[in-house]
Amino acid sequence: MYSFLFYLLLEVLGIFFLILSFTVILIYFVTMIMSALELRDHLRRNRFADYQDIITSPIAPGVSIVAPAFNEGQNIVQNAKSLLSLHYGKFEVIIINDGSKDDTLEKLIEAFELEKTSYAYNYQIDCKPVRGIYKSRNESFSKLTIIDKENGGKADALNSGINIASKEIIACIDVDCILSHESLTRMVRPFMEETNRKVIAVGGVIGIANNCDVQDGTVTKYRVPTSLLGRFQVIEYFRAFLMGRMAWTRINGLMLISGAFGFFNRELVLAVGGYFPKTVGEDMELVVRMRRYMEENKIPYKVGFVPDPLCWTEVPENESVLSRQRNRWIRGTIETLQLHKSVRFNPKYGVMGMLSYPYWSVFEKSAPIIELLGLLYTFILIIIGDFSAFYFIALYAMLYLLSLLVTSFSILYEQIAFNNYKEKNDLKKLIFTVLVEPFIIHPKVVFWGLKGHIDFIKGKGGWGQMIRTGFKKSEDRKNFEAETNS
Amino acid sequence: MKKILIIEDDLLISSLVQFRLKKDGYETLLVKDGNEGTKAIDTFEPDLIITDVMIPFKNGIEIIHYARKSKPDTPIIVLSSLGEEEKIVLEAFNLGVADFIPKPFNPNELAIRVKRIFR
Amino acid sequence: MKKRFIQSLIFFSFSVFWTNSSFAQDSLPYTDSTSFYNFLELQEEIPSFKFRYKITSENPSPELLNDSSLLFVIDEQGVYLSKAFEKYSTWYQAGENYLLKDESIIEPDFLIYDSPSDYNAARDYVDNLWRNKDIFITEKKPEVGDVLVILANLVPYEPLVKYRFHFFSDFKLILVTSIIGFFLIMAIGMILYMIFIKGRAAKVEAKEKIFESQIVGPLSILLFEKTEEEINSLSETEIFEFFPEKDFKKLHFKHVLINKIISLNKKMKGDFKDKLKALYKKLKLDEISIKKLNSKRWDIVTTGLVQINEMDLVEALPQVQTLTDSSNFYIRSQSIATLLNLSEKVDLTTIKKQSFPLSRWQQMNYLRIIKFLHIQKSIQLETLFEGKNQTIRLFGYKLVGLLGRVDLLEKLAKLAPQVADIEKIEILKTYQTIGVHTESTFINKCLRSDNIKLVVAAAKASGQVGDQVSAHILIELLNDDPGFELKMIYLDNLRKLDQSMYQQYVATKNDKELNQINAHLLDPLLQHV
Repeated sequence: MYSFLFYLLLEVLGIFFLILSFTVILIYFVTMIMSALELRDHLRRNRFADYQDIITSPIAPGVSIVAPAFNEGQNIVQNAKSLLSLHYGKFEVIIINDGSKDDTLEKLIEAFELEKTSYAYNYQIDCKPVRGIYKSRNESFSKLTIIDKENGGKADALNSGINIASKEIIACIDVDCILSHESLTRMVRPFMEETNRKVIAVGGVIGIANNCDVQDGTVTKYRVPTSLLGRFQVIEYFRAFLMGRMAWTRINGLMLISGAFGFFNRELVLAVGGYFPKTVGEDMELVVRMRRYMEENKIPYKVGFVPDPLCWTEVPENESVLSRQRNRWIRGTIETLQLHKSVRFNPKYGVMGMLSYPYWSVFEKSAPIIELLGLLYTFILIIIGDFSAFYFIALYAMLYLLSLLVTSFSILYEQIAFNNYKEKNDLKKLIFTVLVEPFIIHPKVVFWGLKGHIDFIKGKGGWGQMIRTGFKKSEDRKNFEAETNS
Repeated sequence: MKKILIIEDDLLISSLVQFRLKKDGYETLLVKDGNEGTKAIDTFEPDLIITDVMIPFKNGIEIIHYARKSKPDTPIIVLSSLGEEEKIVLEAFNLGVADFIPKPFNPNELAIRVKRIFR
Repeated sequence: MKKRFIQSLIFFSFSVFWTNSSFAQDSLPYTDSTSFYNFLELQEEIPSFKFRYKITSENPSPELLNDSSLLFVIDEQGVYLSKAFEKYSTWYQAGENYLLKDESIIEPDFLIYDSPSDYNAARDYVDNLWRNKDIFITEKKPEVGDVLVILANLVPYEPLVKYRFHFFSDFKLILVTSIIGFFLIMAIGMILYMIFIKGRAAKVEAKEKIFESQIVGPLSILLFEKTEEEINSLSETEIFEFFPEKDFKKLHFKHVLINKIISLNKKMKGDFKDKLKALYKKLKLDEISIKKLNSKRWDIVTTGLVQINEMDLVEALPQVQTLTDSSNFYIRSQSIATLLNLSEKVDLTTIKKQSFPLSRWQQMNYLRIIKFLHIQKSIQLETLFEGKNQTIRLFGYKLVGLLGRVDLLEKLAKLAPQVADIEKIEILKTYQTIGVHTESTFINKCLRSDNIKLVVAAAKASGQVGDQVSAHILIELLNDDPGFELKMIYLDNLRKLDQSMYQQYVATKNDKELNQINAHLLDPLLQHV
């Protein structure tokens, strides 16, 4: 009797995994084709764009760069300078000192001749108390504003910056990112191009700066990182940005814009109440909430994406740092999906409800769990000597080939579209990484993901009630704040 | 015979310039990127350098820096599609270039300026 | 549906399971002693089970007692027992002769785990082994007749459930192979396609390099040594002297030539431009550009438009005109830009008639062209005021400010009170940029609007071009205790409008927010924000 149930379960699981692997293949092929089409269209469009014009045109929208800094004393001055030297007409740079313990603020004050102003700060979005707003006595730094506030985390710092951002578009960036001079003009373009839909946000590609030569804020010479972990992230970023996000952009289903480099319509960010500081996945959560807002108010909208290499960042090549990052990512994903679970399979939310959300729940959030189950399943089949174990081993082999194919294609896309890694050797190193990645690094990533799940269940963050109920409406986020304050 | 080094990545432009300058009886050398450019400054020993600002591998400013160090007396003409108000162009002026010619330009006018520098 | 299916599946399997198991208990492969011995014979050997004989006759013959293969021994109870055999066949052979002679002389006896057992105990033991499936029917050619029937009975129990697994295994097999097949086909397809694309691109690129080197020389000679008239009067044979006829006939060569001429045209000045244009027409490249307009691909059409625009191909204008309302953004935008650039008299009616909203990007492009043309030709900006589309009207109002067309203000003033709020906001901005001091009545009216966006725009305008009444309205608005942001805007503009009234207002009120804002507005460091 029990053995019968056991076999039945085995059968059901078997069919589940088969359907899943079929879906995976289908999704990857569709993704590959969609992203190729989108990339082609983007390159075609780029041929007809004169980016020089945007810099000076009075029609171009203004941009407020909002960059939180926490204990960045070492590089903050250099970073601020390179932000100020971006090629663009109407823009301001707002750097938020998020209660740094080091001399971040002092360094800024000294380098830019700052002085505390009597700025009338308006807490439109709730955030930790602002201690002071600094401006420069020197006219040539008039674009720079510094907020000094009590520590409240990245999302809170961004909110405090958004409160005083005066331009139409907010660019939320990590202060240590290296931005190309062209980054503003290129990222602003999708906002200007759309006629029938409102562009709520535009995401960009993050490049990996490890081991590259950087000069005047642009990467002048690309080299792949020295460690395998670094190289793995190069191909992973290609896959995520040039494949995944390009494909989602094509069907206007993009749900995540990197927190390190994202552009938003200020008015809308204010309308939905800014970032939600209680989650570790604040970047994704904001995009989802903004999309919900548009769907709930039935305004046609678009989330844009620019695949040009414009922003670079140093990624962790240290395993423990990387594991914490991945742990955070998966928790952020779980939290965001939980918060917005009323979107799931809800036709009211269009592509997001019917495609993006389910995709994220299965293939991003639950991926580590499913992978583990699959492995256990095959293991059990082998132990009980079930013949179908062979099928599953074959399936694994095929999935491995699929991952090779997908990754190789994403490298190919990069080669065709931008060709940044010019050295033949670099390409060889990347291909080697592609081959070994599923065996050496992928299991670790799965493991970190699982730990993220466990940490989430253990309740890191401690706001269980909120996550259980979730946001019934996009504007619930504002009520949430009112509750905590009272 | 005066020797002129032309550093420009657009083959058509550089060929036209070369053609025009050859007509005036100069010996010219064409290179298409920054690395070749600095090498040619040492090996070709030009009497005049004509360089673009935006070229592969090294930018024009680096070329000017290099030329100033290795051949301080060689005059330099900067050819660029960037406007005169651009930071990079201002920097070039500060480094003491002999002339700045914005694109679009007229090769005949360039030839006249070259003549004037050698006079 | 799915649930029902699984439910019925489970139910069915259970019922099959039960009926089969009850049948299994009855299905011993033997029913009587004969079939039992037959079964034993078939088995030949049974674990921990030995065969021997017991002498049952009172007076056994000495021949029997001394049988060398049976080796009878007497036990404590005085019973003669033969030695134990492990194999049925040797056991049976050893006793066969005596049994055939007289069945009552000896009878079979058994040892189970070496302890003496009779027929019933033996049968129980074998029964048990059979049920636990520790023994099976060994393969042996069935003999005809009864044995066959017994054999049929002897087929070991195989639960029906097993067939279910078979079915699913096959089903899985089909699924797995089809998945792998699908993957392989797609993968190979994509790789081949990619190789094809790459290969073609490499070929095209190599060809282009060759063509480019062939073009550079002749182009230099044509541009430096021929005048425009000479270029215009070139004959076909003369052209072929410059460009090899064989290559020149190729479309690809012409495309490279077009690209080179266009890019040169962008970077050259003066008479070179004219020569390039003359050459373009002489080489009949213009026909290729114009033909591009009929393409189905938007990027080719747009390329054609760019070429027409660059090379001043005025004869294509009627066709360009038809593209201005294309559903593709790039075609629309580029065709209008071309029209604006090339038309004798600048006519904004094409923009006016657009049914698609103007994007910012287009506005930026048109502004650049119009700004450039504005110096040379007088433009009827007011046509845009009557645009079908709101975005076009808004663009019109904006242009008045951007180009400083003070002459149109009167028209604007007449329009302003009747248009929608969004348009009013744009007009207010225009007043602000130009500095129109005569429209304060309109501004004041807007200040009193219910639309908060309009009020904000009006307040911002009033700071620059308002009057005394505006100041009073601002104070009224402030007294309604607006939110922080609005308060700041009102105060800022009140200050710009009338310093003394502002100071008076701030002095009379003593509220924390107000003081904060006051300090902000007076801070010199925050002036140019």
